[in-house]
Amino acid sequence: MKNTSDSAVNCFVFRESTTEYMERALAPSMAQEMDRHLGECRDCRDFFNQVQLTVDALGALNREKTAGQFPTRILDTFRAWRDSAAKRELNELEGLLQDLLDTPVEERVPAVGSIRRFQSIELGEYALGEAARMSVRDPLQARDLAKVAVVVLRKVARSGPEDKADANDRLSRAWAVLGNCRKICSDFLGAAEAFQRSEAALACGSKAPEHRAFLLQIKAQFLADRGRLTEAVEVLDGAVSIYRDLGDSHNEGRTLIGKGKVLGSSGYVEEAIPCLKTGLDLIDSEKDLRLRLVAKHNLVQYLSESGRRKEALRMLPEARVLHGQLSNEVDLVRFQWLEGKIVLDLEDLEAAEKAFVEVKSYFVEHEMAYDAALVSLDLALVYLKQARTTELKNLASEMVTIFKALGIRREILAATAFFNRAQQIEQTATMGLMQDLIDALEKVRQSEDFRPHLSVSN
Amino acid sequence: MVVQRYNRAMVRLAMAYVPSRAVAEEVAQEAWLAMVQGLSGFKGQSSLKTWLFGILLNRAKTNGHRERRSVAFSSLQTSSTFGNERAASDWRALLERTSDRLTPAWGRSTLGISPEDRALGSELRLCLEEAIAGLPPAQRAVIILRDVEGWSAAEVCELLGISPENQRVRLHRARIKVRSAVETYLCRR
Repeated sequence: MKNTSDSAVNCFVFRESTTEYMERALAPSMAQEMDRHLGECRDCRDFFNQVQLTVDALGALNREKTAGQFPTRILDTFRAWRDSAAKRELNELEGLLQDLLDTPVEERVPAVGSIRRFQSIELGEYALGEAARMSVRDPLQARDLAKVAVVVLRKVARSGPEDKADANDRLSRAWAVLGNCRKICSDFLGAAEAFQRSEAALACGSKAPEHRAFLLQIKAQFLADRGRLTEAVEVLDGAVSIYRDLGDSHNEGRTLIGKGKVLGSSGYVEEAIPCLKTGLDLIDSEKDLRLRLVAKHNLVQYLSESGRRKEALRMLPEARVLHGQLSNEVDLVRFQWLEGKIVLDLEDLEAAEKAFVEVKSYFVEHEMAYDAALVSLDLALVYLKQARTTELKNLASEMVTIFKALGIRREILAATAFFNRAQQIEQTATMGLMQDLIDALEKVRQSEDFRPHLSVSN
Repeated sequence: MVVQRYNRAMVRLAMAYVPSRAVAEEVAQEAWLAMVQGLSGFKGQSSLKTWLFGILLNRAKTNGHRERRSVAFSSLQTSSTFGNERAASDWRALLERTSDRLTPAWGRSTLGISPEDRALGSELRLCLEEAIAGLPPAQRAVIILRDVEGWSAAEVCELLGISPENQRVRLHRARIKVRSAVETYLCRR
């Protein structure tokens, strides 16, 4: 060890200050002196390198390949804690949601407005998720849940401390889901209003395209159900291109499957088939098995309707297996409806009647009036083919009532015409007239929206 | 996996205070359980990592007092062998082997991992471990966290509740001693 200069830094000082030097904790003037000493003194240079090498070696200690066995007991405790924490949060949300649902409808808005714990994005999202989950199984409950989601998210979007644009995006989704629920419950005016409000919330949102696409694909199904096919297809094409631009092929596929359903349910079966096939290729079935089921189910149906029975029959087993796996009650009912139609095509009237009666009673029980009316038309065809005029007459008057209540003009016309014909049958009941009726009904069946479809759940 | 990596660091750190690896592992387990049970009370006043290691330190210190360690550490030759020609050339050899890893970022060495270095690596590793074990607890905690685990100075200060100056002094003392131990090891070969 020797002094190599007369400066403030000698070897002793250098070695005492090495760490401070490495940590850049020295005053600039001192650091300069250190630099100079390092350049001049070979011993200290060695020392310095050795310290660095030591630090380097110490760091390597941590990268041993022989990772110690982590005690499983701790891992188990850790996992249990994580699960229970998630569960606690869920329980909390569940409790909050239940509190709101227990509040009389007219008091919910003031309750959310004044009680802090109801004003959370998490609660709104939870209610929305529940609504989407229930929309097929229990549409009335789903509508209630979606309404709660709207009330909560609207409050958050207006006065919450959270990001306003984000809250409005979520509110827009909530309105769209509510619109869909109202549509399923046959409240078409309410649905149209909900979509308008969804649009309005979107305008205050982040303008991220995926939120628009979400609204578009739900709205399109509504437009299609209302017979506004051209508009529906336009809206869907808009959503498809948004998802394509985003590189979101799953949702692109999902929207194409929705488009297939819209086209198919409007009688454009040939156009629907390629949409469904492309959609099936694009979606990630792991992510949404039900979507795959929807696509397969509708594809089977359109293939059979377009006369490609062989292709349809080839797909039937997978559709049945998927139905079995997902075991959603209403899915099974719709599949039963589809099977009823296929056996009807095969002229097994008895089996078809049994299927349609069961399907119809399910829809009536669950207040799914529109679907109940549609399956009634299938049932009517069975009665007609068997010349069972009394049942036909009862059914027809029932249908007229339902269609009138729903305000569906096209179907009212069809059903009324049908009803009149049925009365004539009772009076004259000739085979020639029977045949006329069957032809007329077949025509209605082929050109109108009288098919059992699965909806793309949202 | 983060939990596994933390656990290894925790065991290493706990060993600065308790007499054996088995006890250190026990202490680390206790710390995890305490963290998991107390997590709802965690207010975010520090990082979760600092909080967890804080629990560990408390437990390790308590445990260390209880077990009253009496094991004497192998006395290390700390006298400088500086100027010893052979040692200097060995350092340089070591330096050369790892020179590509020395710049620009130190502490990224995979020293001893390559097959030809394996013998040296495992010996050197043992030497480093022993040197660390021989340090006073206050210095040991700092060098483990800083140089072995790669924590920042600020994190170490927060965990140990010491000033930046104090942290640097402890780290420096520890590094000098470990460097000497490595030098001794190189001379003995």
